[in-house]
Amino acid sequence: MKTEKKTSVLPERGPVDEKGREILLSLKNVDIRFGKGNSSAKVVKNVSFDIYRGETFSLVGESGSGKTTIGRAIIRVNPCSAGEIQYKGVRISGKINQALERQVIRNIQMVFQDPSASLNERATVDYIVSEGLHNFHLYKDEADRVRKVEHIIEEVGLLPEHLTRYPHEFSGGQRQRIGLARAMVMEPELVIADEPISALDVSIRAQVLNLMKKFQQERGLTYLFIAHDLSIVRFISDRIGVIYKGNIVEIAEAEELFDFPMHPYTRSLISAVPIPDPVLERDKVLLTYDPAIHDYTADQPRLEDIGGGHFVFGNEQELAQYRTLRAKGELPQWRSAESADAENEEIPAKRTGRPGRRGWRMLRRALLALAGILGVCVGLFLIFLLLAVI
Amino acid sequence: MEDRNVILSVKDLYVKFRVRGRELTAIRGISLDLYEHESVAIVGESGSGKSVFTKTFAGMLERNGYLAGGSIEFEGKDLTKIRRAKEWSQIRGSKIATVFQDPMTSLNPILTIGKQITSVILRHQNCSEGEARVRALAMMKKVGIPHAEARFDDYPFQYSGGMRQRIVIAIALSCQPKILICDEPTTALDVTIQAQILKLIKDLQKEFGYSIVFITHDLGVVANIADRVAVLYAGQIVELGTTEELFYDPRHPYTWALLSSLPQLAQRNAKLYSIAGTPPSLYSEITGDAFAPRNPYALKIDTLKEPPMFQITPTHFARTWLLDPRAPRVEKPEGIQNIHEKMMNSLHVSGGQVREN
Amino acid sequence: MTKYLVSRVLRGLLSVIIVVGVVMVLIYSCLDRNLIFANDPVFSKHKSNAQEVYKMQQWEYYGYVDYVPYADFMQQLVSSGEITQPEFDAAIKFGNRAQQDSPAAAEYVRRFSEGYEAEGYTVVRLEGKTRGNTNKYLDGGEPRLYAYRDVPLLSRLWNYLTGLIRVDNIHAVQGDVGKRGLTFTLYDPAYGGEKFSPAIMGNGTVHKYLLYFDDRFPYLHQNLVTISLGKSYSVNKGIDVYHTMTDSQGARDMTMITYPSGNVEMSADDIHTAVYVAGSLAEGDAVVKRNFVDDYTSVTTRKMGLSKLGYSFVIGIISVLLAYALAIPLGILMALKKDKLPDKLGTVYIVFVMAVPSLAYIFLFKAIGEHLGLPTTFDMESPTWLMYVLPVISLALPSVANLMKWLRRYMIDQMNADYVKFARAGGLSESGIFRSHVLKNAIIPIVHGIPASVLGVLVGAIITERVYVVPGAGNLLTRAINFYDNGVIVGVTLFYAVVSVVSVILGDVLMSIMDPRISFTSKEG
Repeated sequence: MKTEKKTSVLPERGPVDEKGREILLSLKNVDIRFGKGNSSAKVVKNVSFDIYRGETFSLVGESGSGKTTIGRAIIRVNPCSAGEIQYKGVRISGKINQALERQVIRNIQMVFQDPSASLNERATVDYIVSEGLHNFHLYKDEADRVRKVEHIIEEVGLLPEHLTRYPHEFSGGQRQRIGLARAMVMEPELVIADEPISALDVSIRAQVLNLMKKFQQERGLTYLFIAHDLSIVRFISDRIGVIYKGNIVEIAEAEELFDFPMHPYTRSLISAVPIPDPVLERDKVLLTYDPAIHDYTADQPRLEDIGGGHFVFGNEQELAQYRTLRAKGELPQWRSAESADAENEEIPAKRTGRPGRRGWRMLRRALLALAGILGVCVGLFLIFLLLAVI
Repeated sequence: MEDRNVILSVKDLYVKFRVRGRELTAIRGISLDLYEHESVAIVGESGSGKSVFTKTFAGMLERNGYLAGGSIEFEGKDLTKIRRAKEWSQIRGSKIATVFQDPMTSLNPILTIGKQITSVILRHQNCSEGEARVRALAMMKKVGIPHAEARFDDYPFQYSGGMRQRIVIAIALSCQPKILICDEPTTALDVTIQAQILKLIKDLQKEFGYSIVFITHDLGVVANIADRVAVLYAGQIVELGTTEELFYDPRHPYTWALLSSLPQLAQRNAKLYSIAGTPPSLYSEITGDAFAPRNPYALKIDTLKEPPMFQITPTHFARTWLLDPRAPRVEKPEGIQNIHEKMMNSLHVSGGQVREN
Repeated sequence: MTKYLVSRVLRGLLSVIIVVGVVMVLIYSCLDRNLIFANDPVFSKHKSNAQEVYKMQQWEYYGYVDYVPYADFMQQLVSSGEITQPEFDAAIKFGNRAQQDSPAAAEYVRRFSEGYEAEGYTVVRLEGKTRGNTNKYLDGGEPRLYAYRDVPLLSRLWNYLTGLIRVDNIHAVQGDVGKRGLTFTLYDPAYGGEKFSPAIMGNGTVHKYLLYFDDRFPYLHQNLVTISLGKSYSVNKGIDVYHTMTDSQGARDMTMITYPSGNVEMSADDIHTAVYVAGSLAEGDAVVKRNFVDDYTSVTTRKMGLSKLGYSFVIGIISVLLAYALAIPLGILMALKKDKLPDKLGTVYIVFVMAVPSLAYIFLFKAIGEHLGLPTTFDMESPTWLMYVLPVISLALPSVANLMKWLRRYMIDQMNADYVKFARAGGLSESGIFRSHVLKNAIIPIVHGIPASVLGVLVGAIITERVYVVPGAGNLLTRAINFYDNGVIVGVTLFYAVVSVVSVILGDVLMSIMDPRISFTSKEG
């Protein structure tokens, strides 16, 4: 089927790490900034991780943590402001040549959270699914295209007659299948799934996840799974990275992460997931993470392996503690924060005084503006008058 | 449970909608008693009628929906008899309050937080504007808004999602309602914020003594907040019981299916359990058990006659023919037997997550 | 907020300049410049060589070319002292053909041609055209010699923009005007010097009155800073577009006025507009000599009617007010009674206005109005308030439809908003929800359009004004285009561009006042 693979700019295989695993995607010290100049904000800070071929790597974090931004940076939607992203050892971030860019677009596909928002409402399913094929001429002739599209649409559990319909005629779960078909028809090697099941009902979730699993087993796909809910991630991921405010705070294999969560944020995240068991849930202790417990004034934190591919973000002293505890199979003492209850939300330092009645304020402002304009006019007139005499 | 007073009593409720000339039966004979100080979770897929059910006693039914039968008794009054919007507006907010799913859209973006709280207080309580402000500030502090005075005149966009949901709760509780309806209030929030909001709702329940009707599709949230659970399927309660009964001794095949699809019970690298088929169309008359077409344990009678509500314990009911004495004995699927032990194993009861007392 | 506004204003200015530049490029390089004479009666009076010279003179006047006739060149040599008057006299006359030039003339013609050609001018020698074999020239057939050069567009644009605003100065006029300076007076001599009316007058300035009061809105006027949008060619020949738009029209407004000479008589002259014209007193007729004491003799006349802009504004503003007054309650009604009779009637009306061409229903209104006995044309000689009725209605009704449509849409969106449901769940009364939630939120986008509709009336309504013969500003651009009056086209374009930029900025400011989410300030405060 891969007849159209002409002269590839990318190698067939990526580099291999010391354990013999092939590194498909690698982020190296990636920073991503939004905005320009003084108002810019670093939303992703010095992020590094590898994704191995054939695995499911999950990135877990709250909204605004930067997890989606990373996904978008990989498909070259968001530019990196520092560091680089490598795909099979080839840099794909920043300025790259067009041939490579096309390969990247083809090989890395994305599945989005909201299936209704990510599908073109005015296009038929046939068009949506075959758009990528068109763009990359991944078919020999029309018959070949039809065959490919029909094949994939059956693979995702829909029927060929669905191809002539429009997205709004489908349920949420079916739309996500269409989204999946659109990605899979490109025969990608890496699929970035950005919260693909968050908008779906519980029973539909399982169907979509099973489908993704099926594709992985059949095609040796690699997934980058972006999620905010640890409960599902745990059972579908090989490795999990936890991201907090743009920093990766912990990366480990799924079971390792749940058995020995070292970073306090990971632990708070795990403890927040409600357990579907009334007794366990009742006795559960909710841990609230307070970033103030870290003292990073003297020693800058970094992400380091504490053994067995378990990476934790911390300074020298914390990392040393994590290492010894992990060797003993223990967990760190929970350091609770002072203000354990409320969200720590920045209170704006400057208040705009007692605002009083908005109507009055507006009137006052309008009058002031009028007076200002009048003043400027009079002033200008006087200046010109002065100029006139000179 | 018997020693508690019933605060809201729904009897054989039917709700229908007119949709483009067709009639849709959203609620098909629901009966439910809500006790004081308890929290009932309502679980079901989308389209099962969870939200519609709560809207009937909040007087929030859409214009094209109407009550086609049954009664809702609240404080000696039958709510189904209310015709005038004014009567409803005296109950809504003051006696029965609602918290919606999305805190981002539940607040008017161009009114200050303070104004939105005080307007509800002024509406239902006979007090001056200054007094309303004092009460609103007290409420803001109760729901855990730091620097409430400073943030009183802020606009919703200056609040984070979690803080907004706290404000929404403050508004809902500002008139000490008897019933708090929570319509998936944490679905749109991050898990850490969700945990805080759930805790807040439970803590304030101890103080204010309201009853909670909690709509959710997340069984974890159910385990967290509910005393009793009602499982809805196609506009009917198919199983009702205490939370423990429902998790540890479920009787309805649909409940079994819901529990089976919990990812926490899944085997790594095995297929996740999923319920086959789709819910029935509510436009047409349903004969027999609505779940029968998707039910691997369906009996012949399921396709012919609607099962009655069988009582298992004084608090536990299920609507399935499997409970009929004449039915063959069917055990619940292996996957959800000993669910507590399985959960403990699956979570290793370590990981900082669970600590045994 | 101020910082943001300043940057918005600057960007607005830049876009205005770009628009004017684009229009200039279009009309000055793409249009045949001979077209400006299409409706010029003077042009057709000139014949033969004289016509060519007339063209050159006009083109220079309107900034197309830099035109130098041979005589000017010679005159300059005299005034610079290079040649003497006798030499000038000998060389100024050149022959019908180059061969017939006298030696002196030939020498200076050569110098003229070489000098200007070196500077990139085109030198043109039009041979004399005589009647038969006689020495008598045909009408306008005298030989001509001149040089001309196209003014580059960029420098045209620059000249135009720098000439837009003129600030008067006591050294502005040349010649002997006596002691230059400003006079401040509390008793304006124009009112006989008895009435208390402060004024600032200048000597040596272009305008005599720099600041004065009179009985016309806005009562306080100034001439220190004047705006010139460009001269009209055919529409209002030689008059600046700004004046074309703002000067009063109609019958002369006669009042008792005191001339500078102290002569008091009934006249429509507006003494306050007196402009310096060199030598005008000496060359003037008896009336001028009787009334004026200096060369500030050029005055405009006061007329009874409003200016073009004034009529457009009055009609426009009434119709805008009417439109909002009708559309807001009607739009609200439609939204509240969605899918019921009022909504359906309203929709029919909206569809009618949208679907039927405006010309059609304007004529329909006209016919109905005529039937009711309303004046259908604008008669400036015998003005009545009734003549405003039809234009106002014709302008208001379509905007009512438009406003209704949007308000209904916004209101329905708001009524389905989650926070309206939440407010209802909080037990707020329907009227309370409507007032504080639905209406307030729905009105914000409507508010954004208010400055645009208010300022937009200045632009005038082309079709309506034409149908009802309103002497408004709306026809100015179409007339200018029809008559190839490029100066007016540029001037009006500039005016329109400024109006749109200002209304967008004002709309945004209003919106930021209404909607707390929109803030012009940076994060700090």
